[in-house]
Amino acid sequence: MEIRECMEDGCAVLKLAGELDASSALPLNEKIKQLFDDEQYLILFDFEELTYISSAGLGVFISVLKDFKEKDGFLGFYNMSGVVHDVFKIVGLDKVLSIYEDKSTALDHLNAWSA
Amino acid sequence: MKITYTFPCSKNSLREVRQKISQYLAKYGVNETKRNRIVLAIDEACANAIIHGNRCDGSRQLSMDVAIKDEQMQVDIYDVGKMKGGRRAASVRPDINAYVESRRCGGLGLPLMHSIMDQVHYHSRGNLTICSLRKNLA
Repeated sequence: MEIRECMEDGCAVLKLAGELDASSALPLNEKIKQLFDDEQYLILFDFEELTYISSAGLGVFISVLKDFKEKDGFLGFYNMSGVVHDVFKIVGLDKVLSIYEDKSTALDHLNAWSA
Repeated sequence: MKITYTFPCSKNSLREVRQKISQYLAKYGVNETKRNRIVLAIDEACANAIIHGNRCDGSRQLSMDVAIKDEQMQVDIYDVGKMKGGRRAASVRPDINAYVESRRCGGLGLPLMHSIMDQVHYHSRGNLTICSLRKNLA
């Protein structure tokens, strides 16, 4: 899996490409922890090119969510394919995470939330 | 048709396992949503065996039998790792808020397998641990 990072409106945008499974979860976990340690508490995840996710991938987001909330941070997800969204729904994670249709909707929510 | 597939006990094997299962199910005309879910369940079972059962011991091999008969899919995954309690979780829907509260990064694989498949059963035969999965494709 490939992780591309950029900054937008003070928010880190991580674009994930490929498959997020037990073999690729660790680099993403380390990237998120690095951002957290750098006090970058606003992160958007662009899933447009993410073709697969397993429980190991879900675990990456679950394990850090509370840390970001405690820092008044924000983790948002957008451009999620039907295949990936289905996995979030099976375990009920779609009710817990902030999932948006596209980037502009995600940024609108983020701006309203941080205003 | 029954296929048998043997692969190294490594997380890097998972991608190829998923491809093989997806191709096998596509040949049977299983629709995409059902196919993706079954692939996920089998991926979770294999990851469980590789990581928790065999500590990613690359010197070991895992073996898998996959068969469909009368629209019943049967998958048996064999490994020589020990069968631990954690490999036999209850078939309950996970309390995702509790996972978030405890910052838990693992433990969703077995609930996912139970949610997707009709039957998930771990058992032993000799020195083998066998994960048997069943799904009605009708």
